[in-house]
Amino acid sequence: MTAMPGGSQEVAVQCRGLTKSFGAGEARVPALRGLDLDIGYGEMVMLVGPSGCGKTTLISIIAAVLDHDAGLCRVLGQDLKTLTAADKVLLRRKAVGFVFQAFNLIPTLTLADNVSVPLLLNGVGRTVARRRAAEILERLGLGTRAEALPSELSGGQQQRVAIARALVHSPRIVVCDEPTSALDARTGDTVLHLLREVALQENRALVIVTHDNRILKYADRIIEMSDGVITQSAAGQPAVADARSNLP
Amino acid sequence: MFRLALTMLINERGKYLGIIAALSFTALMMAQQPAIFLGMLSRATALIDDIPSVDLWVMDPNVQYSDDSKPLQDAQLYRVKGIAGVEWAVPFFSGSIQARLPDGNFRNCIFYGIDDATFIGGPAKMVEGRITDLRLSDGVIVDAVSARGVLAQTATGEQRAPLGVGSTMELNDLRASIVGLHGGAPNVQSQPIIYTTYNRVKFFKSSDRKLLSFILVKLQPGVDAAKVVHDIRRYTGLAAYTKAEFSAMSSNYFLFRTGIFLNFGTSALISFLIGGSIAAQTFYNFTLDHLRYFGVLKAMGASSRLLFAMIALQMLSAGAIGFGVGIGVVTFFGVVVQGNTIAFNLNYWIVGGAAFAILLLSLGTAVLSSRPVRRLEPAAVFRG
Repeated sequence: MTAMPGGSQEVAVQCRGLTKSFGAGEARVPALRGLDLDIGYGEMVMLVGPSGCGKTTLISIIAAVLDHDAGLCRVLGQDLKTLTAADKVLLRRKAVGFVFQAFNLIPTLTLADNVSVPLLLNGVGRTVARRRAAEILERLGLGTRAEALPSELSGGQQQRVAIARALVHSPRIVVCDEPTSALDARTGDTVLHLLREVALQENRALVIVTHDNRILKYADRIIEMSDGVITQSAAGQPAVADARSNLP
Repeated sequence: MFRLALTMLINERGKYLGIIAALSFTALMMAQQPAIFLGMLSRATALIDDIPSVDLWVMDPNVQYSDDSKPLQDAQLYRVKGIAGVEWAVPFFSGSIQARLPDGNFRNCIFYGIDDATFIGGPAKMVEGRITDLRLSDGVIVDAVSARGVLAQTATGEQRAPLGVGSTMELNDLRASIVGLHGGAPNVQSQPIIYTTYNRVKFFKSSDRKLLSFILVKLQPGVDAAKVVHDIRRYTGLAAYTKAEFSAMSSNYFLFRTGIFLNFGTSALISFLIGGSIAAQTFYNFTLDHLRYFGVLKAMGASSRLLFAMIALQMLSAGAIGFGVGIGVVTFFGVVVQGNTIAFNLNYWIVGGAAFAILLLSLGTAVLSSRPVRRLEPAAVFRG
């Protein structure tokens, strides 16, 4: 089992003997083979490993967009196996924020509208949703671009909007899939900087899948996966502490 | 979310306008073709509907519709008058005649001969002149639309001065004086309609041996129409119908015994299929283009029901706008052709039918387009 550093008792995600396979019969491909993992609140965990090792499958299960085959996966205290499809929709809507590799901002909506989506899904009125979207965009340095379309922004700016969208409804867990792979090194640093600042401030759990070694310094914990199991778990590098202390 | 759904569609300008244009075309054709057909149908029965004082139409048993003239002997008029329950009976001629225009061009016209004494069977609405002026020598009454339209055109289609009261024309090489213009529309084939008296028909069509087409009958008050109809059939061998029966018989003839209904129906159906296919295909492509974003919404907690509602709203709003534009164009067309040779009758049933067709099309398209969204697994958003 991969425990949280410092022995934190606050567990956001708890996986025990988690297994998941794709396909059937002879074509069956195991993606996770009895994986154990705990992720605490206020912790940024980075999942690394070669393609096909099960990283994306793991965050998909944690984010309740994919069902696991066996084992236990408890998210925010709820056993995902016991939840109905509607319960999972509610869990995602209220408690999970998503940041994608390709940003996935809706191109025909303004930044404010894109960021408002999670709030609207949670029943917040349009005026309030747009006001809160504008506030978080302001916080991420895009306050003046709220009415722009995503196509008018650079890649780094779009990823900042995606982060705003992931955080605007104050989810307890944020899952990020390769958030810096489409960005240059400097912009990647800025994005991770923002994620740490904004996301961890409110004691959220962050799970980031990455192939980008440059950003590992921001992790509280780096978990290396191979062939569906965790092969190594290590605390973040000392530079992390420096980076965090340098946050504005 | 619904406002965002509409914004998503509207901001995709090219596809949005394409969908609106296709739906507008569909609504236009779904309303315009039936409106023209209904206009033609109402003209087919206009002769019957426009003579309010008549209770029964008596005719040869082989007559199938109002312009189908099978001449009777004049003596039949007196036999009908002798049937118990008949208050009065008058002769009516329905046939055709060649009109020679001043430039030498010929035009085939519908020719009606009405009772000389009572003018029963005459046009329901006069635009110029009086029906009693038919007593004037060589007097005829022409429909106003044809007087300024086909009867006022040269052989090459050029317009000349419209005919009016005091104008003359040649009918079967005989001089006719126009003493009035009536407000009736041209018939189904857009032929001019000319009225004169029954006895003057004998002058213009002197070569015809029998001229009596119909006998118009008024029943005595309180008399059972069915019994009189039965007696007329029994004692004269002629067919007799109430106004409603004869009107329905004429409509049914055009509906089921000619290709007109089939032609207009096919035209409307093909338009529906073409316009509907374009609209559905364009909207389906729009949904496929946005599938990734619907997946993102699904991952973020949008239920399949909400996504379907968003897609349905997008399509229904496009349908409503397309319907409005289409019906607007049809209405404008109706205003332009009003009082013209084109038969046009746009009523609430046609508008309702077009609305229903667009509604069905929109809902069907929404259901079809939502299928890939419904099948989309939210985990797909992590697959790049």
